[in-house]
Amino acid sequence: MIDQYKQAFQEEAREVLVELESALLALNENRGDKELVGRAFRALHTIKGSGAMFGFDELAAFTHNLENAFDEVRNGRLETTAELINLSLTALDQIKALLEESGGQAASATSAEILTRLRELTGKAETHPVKAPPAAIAVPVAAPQGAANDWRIRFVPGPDLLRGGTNPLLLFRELKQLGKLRNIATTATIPTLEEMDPQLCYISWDMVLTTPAAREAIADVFIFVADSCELTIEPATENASSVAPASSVVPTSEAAAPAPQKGKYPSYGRRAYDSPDTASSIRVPAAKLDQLVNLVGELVTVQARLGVVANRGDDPDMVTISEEVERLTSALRENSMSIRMLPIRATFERFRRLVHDLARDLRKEVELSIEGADTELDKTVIDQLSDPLMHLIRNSMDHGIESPQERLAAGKRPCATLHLSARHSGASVLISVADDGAGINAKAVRERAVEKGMIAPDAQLTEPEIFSLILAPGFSTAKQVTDVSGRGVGMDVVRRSVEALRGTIDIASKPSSGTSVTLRLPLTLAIIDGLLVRIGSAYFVLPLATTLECIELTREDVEKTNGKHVAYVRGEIIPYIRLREYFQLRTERPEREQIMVAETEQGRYGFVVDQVLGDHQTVIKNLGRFYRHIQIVSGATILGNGSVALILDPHRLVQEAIRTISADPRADLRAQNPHGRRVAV
Amino acid sequence: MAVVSATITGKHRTSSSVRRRRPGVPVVLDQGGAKCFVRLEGEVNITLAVELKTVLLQALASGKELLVDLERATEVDVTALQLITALDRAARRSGIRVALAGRVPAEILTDVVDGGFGEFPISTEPGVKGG
Repeated sequence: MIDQYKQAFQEEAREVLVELESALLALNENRGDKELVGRAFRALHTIKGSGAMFGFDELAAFTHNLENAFDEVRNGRLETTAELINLSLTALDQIKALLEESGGQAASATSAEILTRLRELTGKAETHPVKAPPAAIAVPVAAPQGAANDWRIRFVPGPDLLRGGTNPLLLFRELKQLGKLRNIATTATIPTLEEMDPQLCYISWDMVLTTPAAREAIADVFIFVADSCELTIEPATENASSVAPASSVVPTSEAAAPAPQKGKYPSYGRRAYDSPDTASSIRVPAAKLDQLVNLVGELVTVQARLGVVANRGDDPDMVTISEEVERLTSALRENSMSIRMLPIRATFERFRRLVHDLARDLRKEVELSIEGADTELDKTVIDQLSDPLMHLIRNSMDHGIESPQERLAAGKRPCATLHLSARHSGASVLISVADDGAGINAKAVRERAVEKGMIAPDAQLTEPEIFSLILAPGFSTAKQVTDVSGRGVGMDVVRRSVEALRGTIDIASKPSSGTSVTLRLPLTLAIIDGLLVRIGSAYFVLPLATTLECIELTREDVEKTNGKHVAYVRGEIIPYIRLREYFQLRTERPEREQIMVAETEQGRYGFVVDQVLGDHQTVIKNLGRFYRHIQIVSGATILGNGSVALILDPHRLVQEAIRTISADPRADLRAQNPHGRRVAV
Repeated sequence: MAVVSATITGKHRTSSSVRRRRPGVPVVLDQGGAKCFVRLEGEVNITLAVELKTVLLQALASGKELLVDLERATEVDVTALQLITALDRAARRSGIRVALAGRVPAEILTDVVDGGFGEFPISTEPGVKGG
């Protein structure tokens, strides 16, 4: 088989393994749930069957034994014990290794060891699927026994079934293992040799299978192709021979072939499997998507230049074309960005296993709850999120969550809760890891920070400031370094990863109630909708998603507030930051300025600029590592006239302004903003 | 006798040697004699479907009696069976006789019967026993 199909199988198998892992972990919590046992069994069956089909013989043979065990469970002959689940999870890791074909001899030894343990558990001898080269499907789990029934099976593959590497003949081989199979292929639908696309499937099949097996077992044979075919399995009530819809004469020519019955069988065109949710997705390598977004980024920049040139001249046609190009570029940008958006579900679900394994190792009882798994964010962000989330979970489980005994003594449920959640908030996404453990001991953190010389012994720090100390490299209050955490590396990794994503970390904790760490991350790292503003001859971009409105600020307004940096907007006090002063731009202040009101983490704030130029598709360019520490700027963009505009981070700007004024003892310009937070005015 | 072989890249090669099987070429068209032979070797599956169609069309265009040789094939999948069925129909329409040149390996025949084709889409040349 060529590599392309192998790769497609590997990709699909990885997804099936995620499904299997989730089923096993759920089964651990709901032992004996037949639906979950069925899910696990079907996943194993799919991996085995398709593995054999694509030449992964060792993987198929190994999985076959695990599948047997789950068949025993399915039939009530074996109980779902913790031992079985744990062994199955270990076996799942082994299947992963075999899938990547990276194990070599060591992998074979591990397989043998796992199978020995499995044998001990099930009390059954190891079995091997029948190898029928070149691309065999393993034999089914066990020869069904009992009274045989006739089943009428209609199998209409989607036209692309063969392109996916499936060979229906192998499915029939597997069906034959269940009982006596009589099969008729409808070949009348095959077009002429000249017209046919040789890689499409034009044939459908009608079968009668005489077997004691249940409908479920028959359907299991088609699991791998379920999404790309029409399948009907129903008990044959009449004599099997009369059930076959086509004539029993084998159609070897057009004359002999039964004519397709109008209305009964749909013609090749749109069928059930062509519905958008099944047949409309394709796999694209991530690198191609990155390339697409880069190209769109370049296009956006060129389009901005075109806009400037068009507006400079007085050719109305040119202006019209430029506007049309802008509209199309904008649509293309939104489209290509949406392609990169993925739900965070897979990342979250992966942690179920981590929580399960850590709970077992640390002898703690932890329940993982997940919320907002459908929240979508950029693939690049998701890719880089795995590490920090893993460290946060490890930290929480090792340091935050107490042992069942300690929890009982503290009047809590012995089983702790770890809550993973994701939700959108403007142009950001908030990812939170919260536990109901012991909480962070602020006093201990402070003492340790003083001990390490990170803060002065008499430093006045707020609680959030103390909590943020745990993000420093090498900081740990753990008395013992365990395998899980305590070296003070994890939280530093979290900080670095989140900063690399231009995100922020917020830690909240209450003694004995638990800790919650919230990561605020940008939805995307490539192109954003921005608002272009000007101060003197300098240009800046503010993210449009955080911007609420734009109001005018006259000298008269400033006088009314006695020079204090606040504006009254419909009865509400909005503190503002003068960007001219903040960036020390030595240009003349115009008579009328404009305030951009933005929603920040600290409440509503205004940013005073000379002029708001309008919305701007902003391609984010990194400022390079020399400027990485400047947090109030999240990047730069190239404008249509070739000049560079800095992209401001309103949250950080406000934070920084508050911090600067708090740190300056002479600063007395403090007020309480309407949202109850301390603000600098 | 000239042997024209269509390799999987679709290139045509000419050899002055007498009829000779080129090892490792899964689809071979031999139309040098009075009959036109299509020889299939190894796994005849979707990876060869496009090339097989090209070769079958060339074979048909020769106007000669067609013989399909599957003796050295180890697997014949649905793509190949569809093509051979279509070849048979087209040949009948043009009044060209098409048959199997030799035995069909038993494993392939079993797959074909289980696959609902009843028997191989084209019959065996008289004098040769199938299976």
